[in-house]
Amino acid sequence: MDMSATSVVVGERRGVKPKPEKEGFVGKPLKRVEDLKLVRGLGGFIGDLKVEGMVYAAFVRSPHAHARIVGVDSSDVLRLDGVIGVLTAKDLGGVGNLPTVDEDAEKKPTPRRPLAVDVTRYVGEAVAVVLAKDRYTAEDAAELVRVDYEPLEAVVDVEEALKPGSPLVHDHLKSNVCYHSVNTVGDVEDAFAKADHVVSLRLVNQRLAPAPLETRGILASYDRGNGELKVWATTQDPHGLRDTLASILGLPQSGVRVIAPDMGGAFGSKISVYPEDVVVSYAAIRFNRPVKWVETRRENIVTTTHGRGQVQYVEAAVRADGRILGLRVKIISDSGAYNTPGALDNPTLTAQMFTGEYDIKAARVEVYSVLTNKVPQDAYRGAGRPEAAYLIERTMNVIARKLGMDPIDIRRINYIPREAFPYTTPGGLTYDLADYEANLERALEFSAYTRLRREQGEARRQGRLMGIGVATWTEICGFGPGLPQTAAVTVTPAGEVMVSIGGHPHGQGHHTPIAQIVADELGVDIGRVSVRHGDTALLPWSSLTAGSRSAALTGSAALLSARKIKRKMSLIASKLLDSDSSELVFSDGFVYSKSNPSRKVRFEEVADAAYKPWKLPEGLEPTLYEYTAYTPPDYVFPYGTHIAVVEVDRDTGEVEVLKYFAVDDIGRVINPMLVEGQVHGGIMQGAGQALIEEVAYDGGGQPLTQSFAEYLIPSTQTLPNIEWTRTETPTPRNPLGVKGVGEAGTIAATPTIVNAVEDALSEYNVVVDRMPLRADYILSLINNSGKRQN
Amino acid sequence: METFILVFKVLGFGDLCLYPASFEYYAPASLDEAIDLLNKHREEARVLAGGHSLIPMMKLRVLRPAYVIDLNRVKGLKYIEEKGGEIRIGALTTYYDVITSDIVKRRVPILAECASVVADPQVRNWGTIGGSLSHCDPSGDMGSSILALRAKMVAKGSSGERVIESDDWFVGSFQSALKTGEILREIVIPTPKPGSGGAYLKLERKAGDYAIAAVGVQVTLDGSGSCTYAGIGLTAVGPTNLRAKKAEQALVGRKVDDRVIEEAARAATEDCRPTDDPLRGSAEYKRAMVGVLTKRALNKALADAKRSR
Repeated sequence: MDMSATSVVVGERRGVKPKPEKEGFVGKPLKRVEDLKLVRGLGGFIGDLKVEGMVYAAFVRSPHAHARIVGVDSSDVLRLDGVIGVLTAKDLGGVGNLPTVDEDAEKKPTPRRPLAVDVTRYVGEAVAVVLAKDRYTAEDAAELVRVDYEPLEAVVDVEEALKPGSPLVHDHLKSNVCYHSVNTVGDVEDAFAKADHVVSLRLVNQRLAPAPLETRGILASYDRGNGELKVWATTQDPHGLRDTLASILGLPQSGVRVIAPDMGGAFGSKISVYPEDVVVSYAAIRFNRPVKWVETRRENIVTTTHGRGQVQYVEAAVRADGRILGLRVKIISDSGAYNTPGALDNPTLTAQMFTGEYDIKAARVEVYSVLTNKVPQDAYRGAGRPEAAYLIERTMNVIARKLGMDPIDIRRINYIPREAFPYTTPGGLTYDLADYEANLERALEFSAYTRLRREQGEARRQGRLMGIGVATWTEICGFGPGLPQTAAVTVTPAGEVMVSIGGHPHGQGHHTPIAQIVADELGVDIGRVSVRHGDTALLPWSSLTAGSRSAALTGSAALLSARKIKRKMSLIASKLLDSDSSELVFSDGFVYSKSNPSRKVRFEEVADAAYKPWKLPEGLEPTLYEYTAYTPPDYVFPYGTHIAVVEVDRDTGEVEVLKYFAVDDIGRVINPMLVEGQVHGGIMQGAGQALIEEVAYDGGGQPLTQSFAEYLIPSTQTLPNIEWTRTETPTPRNPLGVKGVGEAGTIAATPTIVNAVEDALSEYNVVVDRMPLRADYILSLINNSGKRQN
Repeated sequence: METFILVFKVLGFGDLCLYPASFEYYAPASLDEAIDLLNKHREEARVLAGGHSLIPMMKLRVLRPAYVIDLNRVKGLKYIEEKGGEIRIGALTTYYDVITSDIVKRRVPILAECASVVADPQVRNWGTIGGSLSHCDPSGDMGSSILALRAKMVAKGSSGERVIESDDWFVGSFQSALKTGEILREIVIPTPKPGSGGAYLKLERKAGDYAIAAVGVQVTLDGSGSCTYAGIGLTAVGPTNLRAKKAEQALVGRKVDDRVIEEAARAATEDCRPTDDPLRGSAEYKRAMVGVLTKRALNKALADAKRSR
């Protein structure tokens, strides 16, 4: 770690004069500037917020996975001291539906009311809301709402839901299929006809709870005088929430302001607009009281959207030398009870990315999204790409074993070669630039792969079940040509640089890299730069923080805004210095003449002049404010190689990860420390899916995982130290050359660890076909292999 | 936790609430005062020790005591002492106290090993041995060590004290031998003889989780290497913590070699009564694990016993 760079940040914040940074801030492992606030407990989270007159909401939720609502009786509730009011579905007459997909030949929309009307479709679906002076009273009151249910048969398993005659989640649809598509590229039949081997497997990506440290929450307050609804909410997409709330509540977009406070994570689960957002906002208007609701952990695990939930059938046509000629893939996605836009994004992204890093010319991919009586599916760290990487990387592993090849060799044979970029995939994407072979070589060297294999041989001779797993990954980042991101830069008269960025980072640490980029561009110390976000009043428009897109898009928008500022300041400085604006240099807090460095003016003097019309060049408008909505020309595709070493206890089935190596190529790096943090957290979450995490329901749709006592999340015990390094192939698709790293580790770690466990079990010749790799499951694989020796 | 799944199945799902229903709170200064309150409010009252079982269940509203009687201001319930061939542990002694006690480490290391795998540091700092035993969770770790050590529980009620053998303590799931109005005051463990060893091995999904299965073993060997004492307790594989009597019988009076260990381990699989658990595995898996853990724990305990002669 570069301590000198770090001390600049800290020193500046303490008012110590920093030393100039000639070589710039980008590329340095600066500490996160926001942490000083957070570690001192000075952050402001939704739970901290209070507004005068605020009341608390508690939701009455369906205890049934599928039931007809026969009657709702809330007459007892208002007798309870401290209760302000109660709302049921019939009180929401003028309120619109929650978002679903637009109907077309492939997609079937499912109307969804903010509170269930006649039928509840998953356990935890909101049926009524109670408002009271405090949360305890609200919860007491919620118990007094009597809902009569007539239970209906529930469908829980996604493949059961696909069968004819299955109970229907939505009666108006004739089946539970809410999306179906087929995409065929190349001559798939021919590929299979020419194949020496056909490898078939069924893979399951279990449902996962995103489980952010902070649950969801909302505080809504309505100003009758101005007709403005002000909403503080845990959202990754403040403008999106504004526009959706305005549309559902029949308010003008100008009449809704959304403020997202500090947030403790989201992992994709705080993109969608939820029923509670609508109901709490409506209640604030209806009762003319500020209303607050913060989700309990049980509500979070049961009613916040789940990720993954995908069954995959794969057939690979393989030549004897290991070359893959074609793929047939069927993806069955467990949408849950409603066809939300987020639920549909996951399988469609999988269907775009399922060929991974490989040059596969012929492929057929069929996607079914299927309704079940479970909470809707949505984005979760990686959203569709972990499922894609799992599909292809598990397939590669099984092919390699079938052919008796090293997992490294099977990949080398099938890689898209360096010279083939830009490369168009069967999924319809055009990869930017990659050198998979070089990255793989680096990983082999970094992990001392040959030595690991030797150690494995030794362990096996001792009777130990040691395994080495490899996965190489790529993903789609930098969404996208249709989804700009915004940033604005203001330089105040005192020369302070204020950056407003779109979306709403929620723990990633955007303040620091954005400040690094802008400080370098303006040649000022990073301590001069502050970053703001999460208020729809800050920027005219913005899009969400998600999909590892912020460095590529937000970073570029901030950079381009800073460039515009620099251009304008050059014009002003040229008048102050009486020199040509094109030969001015911004550095060390000064604007210099390149030809005569003694001609210089302080950055803040230029800033001050910008607000004084008489100091400006003819025709130049005062103030320093520049805004950019950056639209990338195309997506970017980071990639990498991960290698895990595991040991399986053959008596108990327990899996221990002994070593973990990762070599990623995420393009240019703005802040290596933040990047490494993202990689570590990502790998942990990927390991969580492989080893311990699962949302479980019983056959009737009752959730069996309702707290962290049942739903396990990774801890320091889950993995050993992660060894990480990188290769660097800057992308040509944005001015920074950055790709994206937020989801990288999560995507890679799951197949890497599963491949390692399958390798450990190679003497039993089994295919690992489900996750998590619970001890009882692993032992059953061993016991059922027919090769167990006692 | 298996507990809650069971409770949800019996009581239904509720509103995903994590706010307890209202209750009145007492903080008596003496055990007699606490017992008076308990006798006054009977079934409507619950005793609070460390609170790490009671409070979660109250937050889920699966327990709704009208009165909570907090023992934490009662003096003289937190101690570990050895006297007259017995180790006496006060009911409010925390897991942390047990783990760090020299007496425990020297005389009954099984107890320290067991306490160190209970939940997480926060729970171990607050949770008490008396609270755990009174709660009688079949997945509780302490109960199996208590069975392996054949400890006695001293209960106090309005009419005085009585001593309850560990074999009689575990009446049912979440049901101890305490009668209404009684509070567990002390745990008494006979000091193991020289040549003793113990081990508590827990198979868990992740550190801090409730056991898939766990086994506590305490053995004593005489000078000739024959087993003179064997105590084996099983966790999470029955309606209560169980004593593996057949396994104990397979050991006592015999010179313990690998064959005998195998025999005892097999007997333990017959002693347990596990049920299918959607998150932790089938009854069959748990039964097999009782065998594996018993064997491993015996090997560990026997090695310690040989060393301590």
